[in-house]
Amino acid sequence: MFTKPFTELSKHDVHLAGGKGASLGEMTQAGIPVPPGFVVLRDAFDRFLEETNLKTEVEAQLDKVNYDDVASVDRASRVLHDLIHDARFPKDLEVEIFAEFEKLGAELVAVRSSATAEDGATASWAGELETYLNTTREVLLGNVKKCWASLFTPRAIVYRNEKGMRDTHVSVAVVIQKMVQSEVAGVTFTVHPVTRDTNQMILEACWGLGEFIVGGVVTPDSYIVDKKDGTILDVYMSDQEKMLVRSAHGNSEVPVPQDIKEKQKLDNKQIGELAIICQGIEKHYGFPCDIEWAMEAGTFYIVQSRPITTL
Amino acid sequence: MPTYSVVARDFNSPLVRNEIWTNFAYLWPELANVPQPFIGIEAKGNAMSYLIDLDSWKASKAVLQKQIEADPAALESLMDRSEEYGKEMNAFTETVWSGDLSAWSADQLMDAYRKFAKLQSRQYGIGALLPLMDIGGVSYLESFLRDFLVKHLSADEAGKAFSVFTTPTKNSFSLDQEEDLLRLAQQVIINPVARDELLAAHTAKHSWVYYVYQGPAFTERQFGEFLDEVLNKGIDPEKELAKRAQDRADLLAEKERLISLMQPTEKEKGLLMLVSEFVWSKPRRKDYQSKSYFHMEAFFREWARRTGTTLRHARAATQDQIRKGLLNNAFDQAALEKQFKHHIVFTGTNGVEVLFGEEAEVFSQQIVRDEEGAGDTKELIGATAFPGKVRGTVKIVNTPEDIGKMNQGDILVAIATTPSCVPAMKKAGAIVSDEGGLTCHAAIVSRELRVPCVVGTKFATQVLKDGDIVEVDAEKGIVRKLS
Repeated sequence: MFTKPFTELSKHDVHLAGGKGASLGEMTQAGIPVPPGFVVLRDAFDRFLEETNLKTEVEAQLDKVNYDDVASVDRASRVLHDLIHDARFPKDLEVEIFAEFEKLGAELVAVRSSATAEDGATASWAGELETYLNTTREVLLGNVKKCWASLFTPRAIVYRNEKGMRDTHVSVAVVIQKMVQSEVAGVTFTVHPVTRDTNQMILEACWGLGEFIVGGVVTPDSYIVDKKDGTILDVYMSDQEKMLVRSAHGNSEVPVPQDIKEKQKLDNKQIGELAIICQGIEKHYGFPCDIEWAMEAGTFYIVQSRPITTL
Repeated sequence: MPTYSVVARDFNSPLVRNEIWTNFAYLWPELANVPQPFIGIEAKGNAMSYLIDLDSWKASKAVLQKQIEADPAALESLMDRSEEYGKEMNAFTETVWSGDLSAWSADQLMDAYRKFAKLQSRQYGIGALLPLMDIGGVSYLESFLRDFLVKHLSADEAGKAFSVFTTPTKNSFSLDQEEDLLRLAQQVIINPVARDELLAAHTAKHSWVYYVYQGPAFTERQFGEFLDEVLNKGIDPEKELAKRAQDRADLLAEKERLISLMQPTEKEKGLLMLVSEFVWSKPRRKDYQSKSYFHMEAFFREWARRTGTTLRHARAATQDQIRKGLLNNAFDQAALEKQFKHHIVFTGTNGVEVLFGEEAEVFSQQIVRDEEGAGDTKELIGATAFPGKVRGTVKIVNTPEDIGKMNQGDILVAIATTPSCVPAMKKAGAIVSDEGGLTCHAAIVSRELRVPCVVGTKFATQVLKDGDIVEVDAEKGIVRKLS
């Protein structure tokens, strides 16, 4: 078994599934509605190297590197990238990954590196969160390989040498998660970052994908909810002209349809529902969170959750 | 046909309050034998203007003036009543605040709201009688005081004496809070571990003191910041409390001394004592009102929950709409939003009328607005509320949202200050306001904080902007733009 669904992972599985994978498993098991997915475990990369006889190649390439010569490092990196790219995916691994993908029932997925703390350091040099969005079945395996190849960026190679980790065995897990085609998306701060009142939560929402709020491209609706009794203290409706929608060919910007432009992006009932979910997350982690969420067909999904450190 | 003129401006005054305020006009005949004036409020979002038909206002004033000239004690008894009514109202609204409103029937809730509205209107009725005497930009009591002092004392002494007679000798609720905070600091210094518990108790007691009409209530965190300021400044709480008590005693003694020096007639003495009483009772009356608005937040939250709307929208409903919302357990939030954005409340022939949308637009056009501008002036003239001469950077602070702008020592400039801006006022090197009068909030608080203050400049917020450097000469009542 080289994959595990989120439902079978917890925070104790970082060594198997990396930090991201373990966290998504933890949230799923805690009843937090993350989009469903599975993890291609760290062991899978080892299997890949074995099956393709690349293990020796990798060692050979790394031995050849002259660490005082940037060009030499670049060359080794390129070669390793190409080798991984060209190598045939082991059949059993391929079958397993596609089977899990079918189970998700998603047209598009996100493919992400999931590193551990130790190789988190490496991973940060590797371009940390290698993320491939809007991945279809066609390019799924290729993107998994790209995540693996990120172990061998020039910086990662140099870094491991500097840290005396040249001979250390490196590996990385890969998270594959359903991408939500959100009609409404946004961010929640479980403690209002301006008033810093721990009894107030602020939720921001926009039409389409949440990238437009995070990127500051549009002004979102904002809703303030009292955490003690769930009263909606205030709602502010923004004017949104354009929104981002998802497709396999990449995300595209479209005008917001006239019939929804004048509407509150989440109605008061939905605000209440989302507030409860977000408060649940805050309770689960025991600290205030900055939560990215999306709503598809009336269902809320949690895309990401981070501690708010600036309070 | 009444003609409405804008006489003053304010912020963060929700429709529920505007309706309640306007209603006081109908209470004057029974409260004080004064004829009903024509008044109203126009609000657009968080900004509002008071509207008065000046002819009817003058007519009411004439009647009241006759009463007072015949018997100055009439004013004093008015102030006593506001004290009594205020306590009665607070006692009632406390039952709403502490009740389990989710278990109340629609009728129970509506009855409670009606009663609250009536009691609050009555407070406005009493409270507005005194400013009635201030018409024409001249304060009746204030001008009496100035004339009297100038007659009996040298110019210098008159200035100091004015301060003595216009500084309250009894605490406002927010000063009570400040003194409690000093006692809290004392305890925290001795026993730091008790800080959180003590702050919780302090907050439970005082969270409403800066509430005004719609809050929000002060939090433990905010009082904690006040506490830290006290501790970081190295203030000795015991000494400070003793000093305040001494200041109060000195003030009383000085008053006695001046009175025996000036030998006023019985009537004059009555008015002198009235002034002191008045500078305390007006903010006191508003404090009682603030506390009840704070209590009633529980009602508005319950209404918001039952109707599936929000707290802000609950406060943007008319009394009639509040009733409908309770009956139907629903209300159109979009309609309330429109009302929030623009409404006009005024004294109609059969009670308070509220206009929205098109009707409000039409009515708005016939409101008389003072177009007098500031021109290119670099100098503003007002009245001294508290003396001193200070230079600093201007920060315009009109609403709680502006508070974050203030740095220690900045010059706070406002159309009119309100309790909700007190955290900013505590940092001010000086305070300047457009609106004025002896008992305006800026004047009262500047005396409590002992911060130089010039009120009644009319144009400060138009002439000055954030970042301007000014010199505030609160000895002379002049504000000069330096930058």
